[in-house]
Amino acid sequence: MPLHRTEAIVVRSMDFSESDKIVTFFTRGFGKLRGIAKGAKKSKKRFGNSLELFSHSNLFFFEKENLGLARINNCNMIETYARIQKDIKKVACGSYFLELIDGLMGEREKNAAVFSLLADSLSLINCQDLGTGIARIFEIRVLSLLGYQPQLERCLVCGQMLSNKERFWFSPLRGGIVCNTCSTNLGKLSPTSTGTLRMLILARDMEFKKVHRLVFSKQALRESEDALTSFIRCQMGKEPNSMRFLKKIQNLDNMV
Amino acid sequence: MSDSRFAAPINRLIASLKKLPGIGEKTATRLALHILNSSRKEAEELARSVTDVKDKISFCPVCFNFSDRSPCEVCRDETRDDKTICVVEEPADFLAIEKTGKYRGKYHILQGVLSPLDGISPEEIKVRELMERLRCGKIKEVIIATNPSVEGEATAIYLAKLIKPKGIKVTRIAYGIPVGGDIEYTDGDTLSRAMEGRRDI
Ligand SMILES: [Zn+2]
Ligand SMILES: [Zn+2]
Repeated sequence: MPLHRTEAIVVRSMDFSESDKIVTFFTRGFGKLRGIAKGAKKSKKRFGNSLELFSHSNLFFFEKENLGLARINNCNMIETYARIQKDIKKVACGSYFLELIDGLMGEREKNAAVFSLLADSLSLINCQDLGTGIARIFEIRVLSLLGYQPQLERCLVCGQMLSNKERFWFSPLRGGIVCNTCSTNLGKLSPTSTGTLRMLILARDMEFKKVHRLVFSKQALRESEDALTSFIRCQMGKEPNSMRFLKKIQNLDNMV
Repeated sequence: MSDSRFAAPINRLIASLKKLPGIGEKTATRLALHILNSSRKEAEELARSVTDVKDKISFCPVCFNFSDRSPCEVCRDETRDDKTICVVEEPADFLAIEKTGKYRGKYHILQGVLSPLDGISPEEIKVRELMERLRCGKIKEVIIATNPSVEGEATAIYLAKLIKPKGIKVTRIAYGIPVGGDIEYTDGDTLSRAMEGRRDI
């Protein structure tokens, strides 16, 4: 059994037996990887907090013959993103990133660009106040990196380019926009103004280190949330838990 | 998955045992065969104690710990300090703190921890019930003893933000318990020191 090393972020961590944990990592070199950490539940000496959610470390693991559960040897911590846990909304937002990656990617599907996006996005919410658009920025970027890239530039049916003269709708089922003329008999559609679509194109294409400057208008937030979360629901077959959590927390806040 | 080597009742027992936490196919089979080989009296005792806990044990309506009385012994005990509430995730954490013998206040068992990934929001755990208890105005301090995990820490800070505006002191137990640790598995000395060294949050 050779010992491998790769950069890894904890996506899920769960108690297995009295003493072990089964941890799902998203790794730079091996994609999504599940491993068993022997003794991690009872003794913290070996793993410290490196198996906690969001922990970003250099992971050393042994590969089993049949590519099943890897055996986690040790982790050298790179970053804990410790300020995320000081705010339940940040935990929810970060969890949403993890859940999308866990839900949209298969085991051992390697994608270094998605890994960087995850690390950069966790770092952003760790360092800064939670911008309202960050979940949308993550969604559109991860979808495009994974090849789900929703069509935002032209009508899926007639090919008409996005313009201020025409009204456009987003079809979550078809994964793109349709113009008003082509919008009949297409099932559920979300209204998306040209401004919202241009914002999303920007959020998808601009350098990540500049995205924190993007300011979504209320309308752009509402419309892009509706369009992208419906699209993701279609792809994952369910509403992500952390998305539902985030909505509940916001409702409770409004009540106080 | 059922094994055709076994008769259906055995497979049903294996299937039930497999649902228990930490029990896989192999262990479930071993346990099932053990039960099969034990005396009828032993098997009946096991069956009865399983149904008994469901029939006789319920949650204390005040602190939400398991109890066969309502309210539970701890909530009834007048020798305990009723101005302090220690908030824990699970009954097992309550037991670990009780075992130290150092804490003489009351408890509140959340019955879980906030977890966006598992969809556990404040409505799914006993947060509202805790806030209800604080309304009487008698409580001077709430000690938050959730686990030092990301979820435990986030829950502690969430609760502190809710409680502090009510003018009640909120403290978090000091962690000699290592980050990522588990209160249930922390030794008594460390846990006593953690309770004594609690800090404001
Ligand atoms: Zn069209
Ligand atoms: Zn009670």
